[in-house]
Amino acid sequence: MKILLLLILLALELFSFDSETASKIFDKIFVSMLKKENIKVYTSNDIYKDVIKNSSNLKLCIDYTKADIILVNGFNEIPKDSNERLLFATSYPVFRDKKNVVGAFYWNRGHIKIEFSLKRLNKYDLTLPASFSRYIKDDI
Amino acid sequence: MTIFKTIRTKIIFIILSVFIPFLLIHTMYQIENIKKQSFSTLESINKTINSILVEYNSAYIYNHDISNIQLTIDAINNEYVKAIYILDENGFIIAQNRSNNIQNKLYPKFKLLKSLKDKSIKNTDEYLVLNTFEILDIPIGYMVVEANLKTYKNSIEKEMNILGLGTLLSLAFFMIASMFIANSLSAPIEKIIKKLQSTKDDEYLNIQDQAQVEFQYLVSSISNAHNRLRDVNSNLELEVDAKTKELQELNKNLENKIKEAIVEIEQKSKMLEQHSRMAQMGEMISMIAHQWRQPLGAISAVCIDLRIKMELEDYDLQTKKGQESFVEYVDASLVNISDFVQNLTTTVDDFRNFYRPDKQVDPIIVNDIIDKSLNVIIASLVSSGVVIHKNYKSTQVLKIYKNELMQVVLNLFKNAQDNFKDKKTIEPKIDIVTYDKDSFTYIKIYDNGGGIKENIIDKIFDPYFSTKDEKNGTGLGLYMSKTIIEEHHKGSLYAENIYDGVCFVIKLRHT
Repeated sequence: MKILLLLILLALELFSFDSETASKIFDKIFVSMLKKENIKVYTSNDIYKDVIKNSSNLKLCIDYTKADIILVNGFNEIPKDSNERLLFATSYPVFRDKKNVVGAFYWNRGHIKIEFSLKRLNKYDLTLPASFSRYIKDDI
Repeated sequence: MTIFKTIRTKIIFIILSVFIPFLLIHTMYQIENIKKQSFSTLESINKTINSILVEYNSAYIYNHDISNIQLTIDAINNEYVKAIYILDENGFIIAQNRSNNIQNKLYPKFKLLKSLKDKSIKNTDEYLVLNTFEILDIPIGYMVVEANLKTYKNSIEKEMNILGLGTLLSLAFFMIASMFIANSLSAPIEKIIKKLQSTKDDEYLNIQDQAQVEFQYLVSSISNAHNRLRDVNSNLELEVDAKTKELQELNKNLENKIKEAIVEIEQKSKMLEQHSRMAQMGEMISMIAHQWRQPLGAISAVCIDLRIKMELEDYDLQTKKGQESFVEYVDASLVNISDFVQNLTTTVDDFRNFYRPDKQVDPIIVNDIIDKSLNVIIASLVSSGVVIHKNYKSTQVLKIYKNELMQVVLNLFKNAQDNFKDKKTIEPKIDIVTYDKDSFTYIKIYDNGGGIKENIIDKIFDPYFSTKDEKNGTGLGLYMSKTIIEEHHKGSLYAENIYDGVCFVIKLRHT
């Protein structure tokens, strides 16, 4: 019973963010990274689907092969045969382990983390504005 | 004006007057420093807390994790923090720490803080800082941290107390140090002074054990000077003794000379008195002659009348009636003659009493003396046409030398009479007033003889000073009068010019 209550609380904690704010964040990240409007985003996560929907410059794409970027929260949400596709994660383990994940937006306890891999950005010929420089890591 | 009576106080004052301004400036600088440092500490702590909270709460804010937000802000238990408010992106409080100082109406302050450039209100009453939680410049919430100014003020007060104590200790230290310095400088001087005071004038001065060269020179100079003075002094004493003996001898001679001079003066004074008395006697004889003229004339008239009546045989001596009438007439004439003779005798008695040596004081009212004097001179005055007005108010009985006072009064009357004659005064008159006032009896004798010239009024009582010709004046009358009143009666005699004459005032103290 205790475990169940804890899980409920954890779930509430994880997914109680303000969708509107999240939309703005992902909008800014993806637009800055891809430098275009009407970016097609694929995600299998229902919560992030709402986030993408609420964004002004992002379009939810149901076919990951046609998407400009794939947004994943966990390993299980990574589509098959997407190793060459451009991915963005909301989880550090996914960002760390999957080589085609260029960046991640996640949190650890109270800390908000936004990280980009320099190597992976270079691999995809992507550049970020100077204001993002503090988020770019060269050790991943 | 001497402010410092000793070198010690002067040295202490100089040292302290140099140190105290320095201490004051240092203290003022330290006060400013304490304020700055305390504020800096407050700022630093608040900045650290703000950055920690922003760093560790961003995710909770993003996820609206109220419970963790609450846990985080409750963990901040710093005396410099008064209150912490977490607000959503619209400015509404979503969490706040467990503090007694929570502000109920924060929203207006939030709006104000947001509008400010540095997002803070920092003054002595309030210290509020607004922090924004943002991700990629997108605001997700706000935090307002209110600093505890009481802690800040307490910290300043504590530091001030320490500073005050330090200042007082410094002051005490410098006072003790200045006293020590002053003492070390003045002690040798005091030692020299004590030695000087304890050394008698006829002793040699010997001061030793001076550490400093300057004091050694000083001591040496003083000792030499003292010892030279001592030698000079001892010689001087011998000279003074010799001179004293000379002076004593001179003094002795002087005393003898003074005694001789006093004897000479006394003799001259007696001669003067005698001279005066003789002059007065001449005047008195003249007065007696004048006084006698009328009764002698009357006696002569009675005798002539008797002889005429006998030669003309007015009375028939053959008859008994004629004999009785003649006897009656002769008897009446003899009574008249006897009365006139009595009058002559009285005049002579008055004259004799006046010149009798007067060595005892008699209790008497001055009015009686004036009347007795008038009796002597009245005939002469009346024959000269002088009118006498008397206004006696004195009732005080005085113990005085009666004849001496008579001499004075008579002298004043005689002077007035002579003056009337010289100036040919029309309707001459003498007013005599007596009264008592403030333990004194006053006799005032006014005349309308034109007064005394102002340039000689101060000299009229000098011996041998006279305005009369040599025949009538000796210049001793007023001098003797003044001597009698002032030396024999301890009174005073002076003259004042009045409207048309002079007023002589005799002032006698009540015994």
